[in-house]
Amino acid sequence: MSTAFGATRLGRRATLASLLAGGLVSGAAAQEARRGGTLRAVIDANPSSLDPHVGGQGGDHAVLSTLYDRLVDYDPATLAPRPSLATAWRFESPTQLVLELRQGVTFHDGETFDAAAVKANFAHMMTNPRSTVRADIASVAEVEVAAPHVVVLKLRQPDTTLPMIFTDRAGMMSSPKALAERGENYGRNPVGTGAMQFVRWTDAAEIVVQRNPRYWKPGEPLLDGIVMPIITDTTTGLRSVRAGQNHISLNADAQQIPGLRRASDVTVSVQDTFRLQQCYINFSKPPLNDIRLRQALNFAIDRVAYARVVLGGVGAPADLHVPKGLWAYDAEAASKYPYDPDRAKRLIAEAGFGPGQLTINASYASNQLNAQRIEILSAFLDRVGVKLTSTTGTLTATLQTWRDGVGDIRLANWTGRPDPALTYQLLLHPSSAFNIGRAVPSPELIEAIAASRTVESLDERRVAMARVLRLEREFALTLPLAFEPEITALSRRVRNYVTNLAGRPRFEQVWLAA
Amino acid sequence: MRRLLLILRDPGAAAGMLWLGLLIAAALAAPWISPHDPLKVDLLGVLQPPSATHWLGTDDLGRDVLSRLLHGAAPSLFSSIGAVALGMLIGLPFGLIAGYLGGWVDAAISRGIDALLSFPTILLAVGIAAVLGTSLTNAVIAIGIAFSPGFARLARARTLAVKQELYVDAARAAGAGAWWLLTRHVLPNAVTPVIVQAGLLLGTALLAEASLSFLGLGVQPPQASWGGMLARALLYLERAPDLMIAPGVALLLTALAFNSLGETARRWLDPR
Repeated sequence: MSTAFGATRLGRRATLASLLAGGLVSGAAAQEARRGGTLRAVIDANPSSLDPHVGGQGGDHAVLSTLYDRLVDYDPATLAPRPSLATAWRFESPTQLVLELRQGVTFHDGETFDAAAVKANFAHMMTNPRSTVRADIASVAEVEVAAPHVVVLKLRQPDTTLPMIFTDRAGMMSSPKALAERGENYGRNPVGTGAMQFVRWTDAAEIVVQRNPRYWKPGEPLLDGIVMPIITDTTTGLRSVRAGQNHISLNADAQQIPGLRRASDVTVSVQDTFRLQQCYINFSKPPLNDIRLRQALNFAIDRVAYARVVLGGVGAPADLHVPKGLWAYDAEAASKYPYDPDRAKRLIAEAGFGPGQLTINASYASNQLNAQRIEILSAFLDRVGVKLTSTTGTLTATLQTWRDGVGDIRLANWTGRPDPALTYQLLLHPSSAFNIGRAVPSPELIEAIAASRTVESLDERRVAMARVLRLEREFALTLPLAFEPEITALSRRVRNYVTNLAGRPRFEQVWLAA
Repeated sequence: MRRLLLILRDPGAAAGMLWLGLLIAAALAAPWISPHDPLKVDLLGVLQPPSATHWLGTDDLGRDVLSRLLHGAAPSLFSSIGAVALGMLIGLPFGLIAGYLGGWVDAAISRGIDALLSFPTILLAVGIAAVLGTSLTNAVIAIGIAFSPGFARLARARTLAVKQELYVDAARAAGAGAWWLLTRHVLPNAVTPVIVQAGLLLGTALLAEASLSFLGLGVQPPQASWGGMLARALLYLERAPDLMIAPGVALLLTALAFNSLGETARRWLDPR
């Protein structure tokens, strides 16, 4: 079986599952698609908002993707951009991006999708005080309607990551009429152009959407509607699929896979994503402002063993923030830190610490998954003579103390961004909240990140990103550990569930067997 | 002596005593009798079934389950004893004062007790532990505080009864001060039910500590604790359900033994 990247695997029992068009597809491909039926897909969190430009929770995407199309879509396996609401895009100059828009598209409320609608959405993103995507489109200075279906984005500085940014929240287009009329309540009553239109949202209970009869993609959607029960405990969600009450349960834990595989009427889809388990490093203060110690940490962890234990045989060890299947992957940068405890010890000695003299404090939110990860890190660091202490408590409390400068490293996931340049910009730029000490990691690296956003063709971007990746690894500014897979339990009736490298659940091509 | 013999003839009580005795010995001797280092991670030998090398198998990180069980006994035992002692230490004086002084002091203390009792014990302990921060000491403090209103109410009720007794009036008539009356006459006669309650609460405290460690608010990794071992085993419920057994059985037996200890104390101290 070919894989999306690295170690994508399907459940032993999911032998019917096949790969189509590079994406991971579950269900019998040979069977003819059946129209009709209501899918019941369990989501594990009450969404933060159904206004894509205001919400900020990873789990929102399962719902958002049914209601909204994006300006730019992506190939599920490689995340290469492809047309959607924008049929074409080009940089007329480094600071001018022209988007040609699809004609004949209407919003669920009957409004026409056109350049004016896009302009209104940008205004919403840039001026709404609750906007969570302002940083994503910070390079956009002005939006101009050049023709009824052509918009021109005038940029403050060159930014070729924009097309990829438009595959995410910032590219989801809402009806300007609904935005204006509903104001702050829009997030509870959304209107997009997507395959499904909103019916109701009962807090912490369920979200219901139904077929958009005016959908622009011919023949889609196949489903009459989707009910998304909100079940926060994934074990309960999985049981409801096993019991036949629901069809899909998202976000299962790797350790739950063996039980799912034993269930005869359930298949398991395991898709690698760019969601990364990692340690952030506070490189602004001693001891980890010393590059040798950061490099030592990177040499000290056996990522293969780590991934095997934590992810139970699925997922992949991470040497970078870019997974193998993504266009920006760079083998040279990835090979910088093989597991080498002796080199780690030498670097620590060079930095002036004898065995047992260096203590690193790890901040993490208290839960069993994190406790297990910390215990593994602690065991590896112990082998190179480093003592790991911890600062733990609730997620909010530890995040606050981490921001206040408590802790040398912080164990927390990075959910990933469609364009890797944005990942590095957000993680390392001194203006970003994720760069906790706000120190300049290296002027050369900051310049390389900016430069990677000025070139347009994928080949040029690959070269530019390789420089970023190598410099980040050279300075060892983070401690990547493993890529978390998206694990989904599916009833055998579910066909054509296509997963993607972004780890964003999407149901638009799903159909239900009789 | 005759009463002690009677109690020991009860097989439940005798078994409970024996188990507790063994457990305390094992907890104290854990560093010497454990077959392996409880913190030694072996990622190539995870989730192994019981064998000659690892009598109870290995956990998710390849650590010896028996050694972790032995090392986890001390925090579990001593934290439950500590929590109950702390609960008594806080609750008893408040109960005595409220019962003895009556009036607005009683009203104020009793409303405070009522307020605390309106929370389920574990929930209160979780809340306190979350505020204090995560450590074993804080877990003990949290459970102790959560237990204190129960002790206070019991002590208050006994004090109300005892202070009506003739000998208390006699002592007061003879010129005894409040402190003297409380410590020499009221306390010794009010303390019996409190001690019985303490014995019965030890089991609850054990489970409360396990619950806090289970929730990540008690003993911190990589240190072993029974509650923590159970929490980790829950992650592996599908892959290695047997990880539950050792800490689960240890908790069950110890809670039963503490209960029988409380029961024994009741029979020992109750003259009826």
